[in-house]
Amino acid sequence: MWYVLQRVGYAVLVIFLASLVTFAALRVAPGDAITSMLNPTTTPPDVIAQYRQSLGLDLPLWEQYLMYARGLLTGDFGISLTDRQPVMDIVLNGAVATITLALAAFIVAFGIGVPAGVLAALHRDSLFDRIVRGIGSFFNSVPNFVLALILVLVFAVQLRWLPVSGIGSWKNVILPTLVLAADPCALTMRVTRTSVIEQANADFTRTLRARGIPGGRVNWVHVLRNSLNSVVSLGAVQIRTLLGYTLIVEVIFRWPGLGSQLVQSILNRDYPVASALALLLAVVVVIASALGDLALRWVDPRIRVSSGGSA
Amino acid sequence: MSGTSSPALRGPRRRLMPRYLGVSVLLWAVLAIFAILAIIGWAVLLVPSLSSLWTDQSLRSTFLPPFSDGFPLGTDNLGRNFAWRLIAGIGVSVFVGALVAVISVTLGLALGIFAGYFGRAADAGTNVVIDVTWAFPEILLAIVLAGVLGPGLEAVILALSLTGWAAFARIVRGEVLSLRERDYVAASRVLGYGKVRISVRHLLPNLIPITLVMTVYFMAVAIVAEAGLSFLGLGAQPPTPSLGGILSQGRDYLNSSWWPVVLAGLALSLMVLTLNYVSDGLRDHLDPRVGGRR
Amino acid sequence: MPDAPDLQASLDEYVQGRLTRRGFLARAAVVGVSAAAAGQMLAACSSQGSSTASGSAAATAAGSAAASAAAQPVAGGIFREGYDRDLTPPDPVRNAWADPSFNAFFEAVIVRNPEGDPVPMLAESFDYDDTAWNFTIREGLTFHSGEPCTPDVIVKDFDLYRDPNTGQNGIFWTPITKVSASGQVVTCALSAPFAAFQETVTTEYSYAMNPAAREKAGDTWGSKVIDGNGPFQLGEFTPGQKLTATRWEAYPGTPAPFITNKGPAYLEGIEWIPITQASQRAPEIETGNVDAIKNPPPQDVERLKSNPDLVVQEFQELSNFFLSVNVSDSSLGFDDVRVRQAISQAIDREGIVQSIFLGQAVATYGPVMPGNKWYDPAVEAFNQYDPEKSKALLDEAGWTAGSDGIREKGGKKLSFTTYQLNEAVEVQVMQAVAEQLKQVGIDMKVEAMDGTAFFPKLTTETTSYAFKWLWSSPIDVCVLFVEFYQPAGKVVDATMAAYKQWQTAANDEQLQAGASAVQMDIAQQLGIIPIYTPNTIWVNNKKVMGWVANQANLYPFYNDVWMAV
Repeated sequence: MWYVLQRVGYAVLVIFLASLVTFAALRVAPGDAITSMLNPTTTPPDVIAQYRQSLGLDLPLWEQYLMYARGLLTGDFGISLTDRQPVMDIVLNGAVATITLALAAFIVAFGIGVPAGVLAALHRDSLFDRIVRGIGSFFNSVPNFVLALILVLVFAVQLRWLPVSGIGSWKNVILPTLVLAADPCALTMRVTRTSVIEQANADFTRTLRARGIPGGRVNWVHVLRNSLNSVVSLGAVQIRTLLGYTLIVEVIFRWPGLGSQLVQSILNRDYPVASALALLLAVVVVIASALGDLALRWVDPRIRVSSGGSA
Repeated sequence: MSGTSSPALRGPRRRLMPRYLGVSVLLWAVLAIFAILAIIGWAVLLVPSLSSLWTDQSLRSTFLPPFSDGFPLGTDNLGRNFAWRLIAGIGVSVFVGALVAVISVTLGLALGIFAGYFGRAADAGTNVVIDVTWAFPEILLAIVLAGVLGPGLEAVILALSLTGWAAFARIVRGEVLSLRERDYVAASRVLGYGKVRISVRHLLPNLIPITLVMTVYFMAVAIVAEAGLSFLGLGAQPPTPSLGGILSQGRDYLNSSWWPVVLAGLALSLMVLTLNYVSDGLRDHLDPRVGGRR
Repeated sequence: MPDAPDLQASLDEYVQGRLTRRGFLARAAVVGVSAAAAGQMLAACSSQGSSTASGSAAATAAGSAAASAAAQPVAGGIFREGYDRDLTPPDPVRNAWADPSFNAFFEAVIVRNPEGDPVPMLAESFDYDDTAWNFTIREGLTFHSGEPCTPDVIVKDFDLYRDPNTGQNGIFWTPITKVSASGQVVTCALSAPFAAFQETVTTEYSYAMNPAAREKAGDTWGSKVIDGNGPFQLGEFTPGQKLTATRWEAYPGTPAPFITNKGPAYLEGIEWIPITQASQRAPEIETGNVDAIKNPPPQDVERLKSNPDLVVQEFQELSNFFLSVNVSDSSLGFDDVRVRQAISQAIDREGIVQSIFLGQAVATYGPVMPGNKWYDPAVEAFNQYDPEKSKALLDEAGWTAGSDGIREKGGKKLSFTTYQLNEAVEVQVMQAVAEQLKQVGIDMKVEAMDGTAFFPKLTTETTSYAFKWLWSSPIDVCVLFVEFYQPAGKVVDATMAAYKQWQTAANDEQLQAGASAVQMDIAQQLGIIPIYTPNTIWVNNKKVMGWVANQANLYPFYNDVWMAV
């Protein structure tokens, strides 16, 4: 219990510090939010100064942070400077879009990766195994935005089977999902394959076989259940990588999720939106990292990315 | 934005090549190619007199297809020699990737040892920094630095190095935690040697294998990340050639000429693939403990 | 069926410039083509700029005209329009950019017709003399909310617009001393003759809206609440995704003569979808994701034109891309007009237009695009590409080539950095310009950045920057960039003197003289160095009828648009 409390406290500390650093970084970055709100070439300087004052942008940084933190604690995330909508609405809209995409990618990655990994392990060193591993290392190496461009070129520009970008119909989901799923799928497949091989050689499997339980059942039920642990823990750890992926994939496919909103809001210096999204990112990463640590520790003490007290 | 996954989490992989082929020869050959590319990159960035090769333009001969006279890979939208731009771009990628890898690995090594061997306070403090860095979007750092330093590769190198070290510091810390329980480390401590001396004499040499593996791995990550930032317009500034820049510009002409995107994408993927294999191969041979069981 | 050969002949005459727009419309009417359809054909012919394109566009337009002439407009349908910028909540008072949606939600007191002349809209008539502008507002007008749009409300709007503390455009309203209403007449009292007000009052930044509703809505104005007089009401705004509009059933119609539909809009609704990535635009319309797009990249235009299902219209954008160097910078010789001319003449504008824009742009030798009503072709005597002349000018000014090819004077190299926005095509243009300047021994480095970083860099101290303005009143805006970002001195004084002539003109003739003075001053003194004006390219599916762009306005109006079934 004490351990869990300690964990939670630590997570809160990290999130607080991350919010502080992102807040400061956003404000320190040269550039001016006002230029995306007012016509920068026709608005007199004193009017710009007035706006800055009304938004509290002229206050010392620490005061601005206090105002911001007070807002956070009361659940008020403020209003977007460029879109003039509550930040909460924008974040929720983005979250729905991103979660849709991430979920689809997860389903594809696991739906293909796990069976392919199991089959490859069961037919180790067969042609199938080799092909699967070859494809795996290919998808592991092609940067996702390159994959995105190639898929767009082939399926949207040349064949015109699928839309280039945007949202609206189920067809729009396909390309970004495939791009997003490619690398996690390759990884899932490899980890599944390894685990299955290891589990298949483990003592208890041999015991089960010796007790006359049919081979197929041993493979599918027992081996798989044990192998899945590492696959699941992998999912938690991969979240930060995936978040990095969604960012650029969303920009390319004009997918209005959190990633593209984050890029846009940082470029617009839309401080309230950018701060909220960066904070959300920090929360997700910290939680995922904590879960990942716990899961890893539990599943396989040998894989200790960070054996110790970190979140 | 990375296109690779952490090797520490990877399952086993085929060895770089079968042992009987003479692994070291091939490894050296690959490393030599990358060294040459890095030198090209260095020349592209720091020898201005060469630049006319890839910046000379001819607005009267734009979009020549590959295999045109004098332009083996054709020309781009400003009539510049695409073959030179591609080679220069690859060089820049490798140079930047190597630089980022070296800086982040050095930082990670130093902070990892510090966390693992210099007491609980050092450990706790470093962990907080690692986790906060981990939770910080690198694109934000890239934009901040681009604002402060002016947009360009300097900002990208710094941004990637300042975020990349955290992952390695964690790994080093874990290694150090187990190393410090070894007999010879304990013995040195008993003999009264200082922590710094023990770190340098006993910890560092034991960390060399994993450091080499991770340097290569980080290089792949950094190459992809740099290309990604340049793709978003936050990296190399034109006319400096870069793969990300070629991809982003090529995307605008994707409907009419596909080869810049395909060639730059292929170059990028091949580099990452090769580096991943090198990193795995190194791991298998240098440090069987890190993974790589078959 | 209309008599096609006659119509095609008329179209060809129009394209070749032998027939005026009015003349064409008249002839079209004779052969039984509705004004909307004829307008669409004309629009497709692109009055200026793209000589290569007009033939094929005319052919496709004639085909669609035959179809639309046969059909009567039907009500209903959603029009999905792909827009080339990110959408912002529409607010004429505060917006830095006017989006196409302005023409759906709002109406102007008077508006510019396709020839660029002011015609009534909310006003039933207007006139001006040396002391005042008078607008007689139509009776019984209301806003979407049902609240009355009285002359008093218009006075409040005008006061918001002309006060620099609230209006974006306040600096262009300075000759107006007082706005008042009496009966149905709104009067703007003038401190000096101000015929040029016809340019400002017809921009999107002068559209009428309900100021009380705006004040009440506060931050949500534009994103959740819009109360204007336009034929459409706000649907919903989802940042980064879309903005929607629904038909305003109580719309009373418009007296604007160039709009055919005199009643409520045909369309049930409109969706604007931002497609900021240039390469995605053409595929979006080709795959039927949207019904119309604005500005496909130049390299896709030919393909779109050859598509039998699409109509392509082209006009010179109300914009100009220019390079500015600080005229007070003596260390780089920018204070010497010969150096500025050398820079200007080293730029191969035609080459840039042909290679980067594939002809879908026009080289500009003065600050105004040739298609504009106020354009003075006399500027073409200056700034023509002549690298030898450029080198000679630099030699004459004392800048001689150094060992590395870069010119120097008194040990100072002619080497500088220029800032620009991170817009793909503009970045390419500046790369081309940098390379061309290198040929005459000028070393220009370019730094591209986003707007939030770029605009704060613009001051009177800035050494150099490049920028494209987009504004429906070109003379006003080009002067602005000389005045705002150049230190006071004789260059600015000369430009302002020319501008004064424009601003205090009492009639169209004097306006033309003032406009010419401004253009000739900038073409010769180069307070800014004009480079090109891109074409705005409008592409629509043939199902879309009456979506007609024109040279005088930034965006089409939606009153006449309908969707063929």
